[in-house]
Amino acid sequence: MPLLEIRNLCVEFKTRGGVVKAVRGVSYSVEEGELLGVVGESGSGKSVGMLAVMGLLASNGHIASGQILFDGEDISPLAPAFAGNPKAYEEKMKGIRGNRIGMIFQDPMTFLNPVLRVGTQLTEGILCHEKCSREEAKNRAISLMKQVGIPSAEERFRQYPFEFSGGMRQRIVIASALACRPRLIIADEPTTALDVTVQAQILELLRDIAREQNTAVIMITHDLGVVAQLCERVNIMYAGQIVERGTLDEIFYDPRHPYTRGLLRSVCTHGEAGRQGLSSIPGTPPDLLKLNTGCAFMPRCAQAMKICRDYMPVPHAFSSSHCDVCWNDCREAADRVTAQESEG
Amino acid sequence: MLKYIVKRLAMGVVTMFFLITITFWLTRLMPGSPFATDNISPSVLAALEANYGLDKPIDQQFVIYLQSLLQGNLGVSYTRTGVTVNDLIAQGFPVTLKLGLISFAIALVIGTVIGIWMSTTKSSAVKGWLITGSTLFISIPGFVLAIVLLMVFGQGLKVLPVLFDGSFLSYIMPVLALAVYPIAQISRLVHASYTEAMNQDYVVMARAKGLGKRRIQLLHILKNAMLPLITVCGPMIAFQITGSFVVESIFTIPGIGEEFVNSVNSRDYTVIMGLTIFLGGVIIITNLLSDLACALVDPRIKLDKAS
Repeated sequence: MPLLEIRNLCVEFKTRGGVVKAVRGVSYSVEEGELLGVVGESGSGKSVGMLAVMGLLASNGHIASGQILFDGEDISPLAPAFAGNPKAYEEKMKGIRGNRIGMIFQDPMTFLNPVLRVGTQLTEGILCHEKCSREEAKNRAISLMKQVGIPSAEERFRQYPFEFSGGMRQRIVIASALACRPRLIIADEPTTALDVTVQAQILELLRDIAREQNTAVIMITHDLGVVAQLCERVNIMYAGQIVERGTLDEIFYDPRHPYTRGLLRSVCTHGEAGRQGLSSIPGTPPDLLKLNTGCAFMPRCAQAMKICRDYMPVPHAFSSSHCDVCWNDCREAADRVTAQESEG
Repeated sequence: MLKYIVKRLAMGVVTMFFLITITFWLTRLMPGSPFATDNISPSVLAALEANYGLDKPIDQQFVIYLQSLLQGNLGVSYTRTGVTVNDLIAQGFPVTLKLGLISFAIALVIGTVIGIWMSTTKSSAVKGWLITGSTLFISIPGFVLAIVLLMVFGQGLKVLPVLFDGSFLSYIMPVLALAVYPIAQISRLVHASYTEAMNQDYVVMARAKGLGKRRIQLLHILKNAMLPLITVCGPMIAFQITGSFVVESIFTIPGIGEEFVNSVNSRDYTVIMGLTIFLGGVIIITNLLSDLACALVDPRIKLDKAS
């Protein structure tokens, strides 16, 4: 049984311009101790999907449909167990957040409370999930700080976030996510706000912790370099959908979806390959308020066909682990649809 | 910290000197004399003024005044024989202070609660009524409210005493009249800062840790939301203490506010001066206290480095 299984998740936001479908039917699973990367541009729904899992969506957002199975139990607010009872859902999630699922956020500058001591922010999570004394929680927090590589932790425990550097603050955020030994860590672009040398340290730290404690990690990022360093499997997201999934090697050495290929071509490399120059994907991500009925990537796709505009492509599997969603990879099905259309 | 306090107090002394100088010259510029009445002969007037040293050149009077001030002597009242300004303050200030602090404490608690309520309520009707109410009460002057209260509870229903006698019941109306404006002001301020803090990233992180709603609201959000409030608390307390003149005279409360109004009317120079200096000192000290409180709540404020 997978640790986390998401089935056909749809997330919507009510805005002045209309309903934005930020996540449109996403399904995937994470095994115990697995390192999964979720890659996509800004607005592709990668973070929103994770916030929906945690029940932390902004007040104008909600899960429109889908199941979120954590440890075999549906923890979506739409689950029958919470039907019409948001309080029961909130109670349930309070026991899961920070306890069984830890979350690491993007910007350690804004996600730590500026007026509370670092020690307070670390111990409060422990104290609210576990029956232990303040002294025990303090000792735990200090050993966590040591674990994530903060020197002179006893002294640092009493300091405020502004007294820490960016990398050190991110270590605090990681320590806080680890506090109750969660089985899953959701890391939402944990290295974006950091400079490159610190990025490498933080990624190494995450990998070591995941191995030591057999914790699963979902790494949300737009940086393929981060994925290459850390993850075992990768989901590529575009406009609220997963367009390709596979193992690290399958995605990096045998990308199939035109979007994945475009992404990989736009990565800066050195050596022979680097001399060919850097290419970018033309156009911009679609306006989620004005999606066409077909493939969302169609307007930017060099291999787009007529069918792509009107019909949503169907998934096509290349191996048990590798599949994408593109009409180019399932020409037979495309031909059938075209034939049907010309008949009708 | 100590260095900062000493520095601020030294600055306060400079401020006080300017305050004293300006007030001194302004009172002397007022037309009329403390002893002038309709039927006083010029020779008697001159004799009285000479008695109090008012015949000397003004710059000389100023030096004499400063000398006695340095000895802590605010002088004697010109219109009430035998009463010193020090006595007037010693008698009137405790009443004014008590009234001001009680009304401010009430305003602080109620204003904060209403502000949080405005930010957290999901009902737009409740929110609308609260915002309308706070806008309404922020625009009603305290003395109008005092008169309305007097008419309704003192005259009409006869449940509260019209005259102030120091009893619990007689405090209710003046305190209410003084507290309504700061309640409206504080609730609007807390509403704005609380709403801002509510939408900060650290709240998402606090929720992601699985913390309870109460802890997030009362610790994570409120501690950040209180910062702008604490900054204005000093001036507000000063305003509560000094701004009760009219309310004091409506309810005939023997505080310094009433003395102040009378002294200006009767050109009682020493009383005007004494009360101005005293209230100036109160404002300087409350401002300093609120800055210190700010530094206590927000660790990022380093007092020694600033200013």
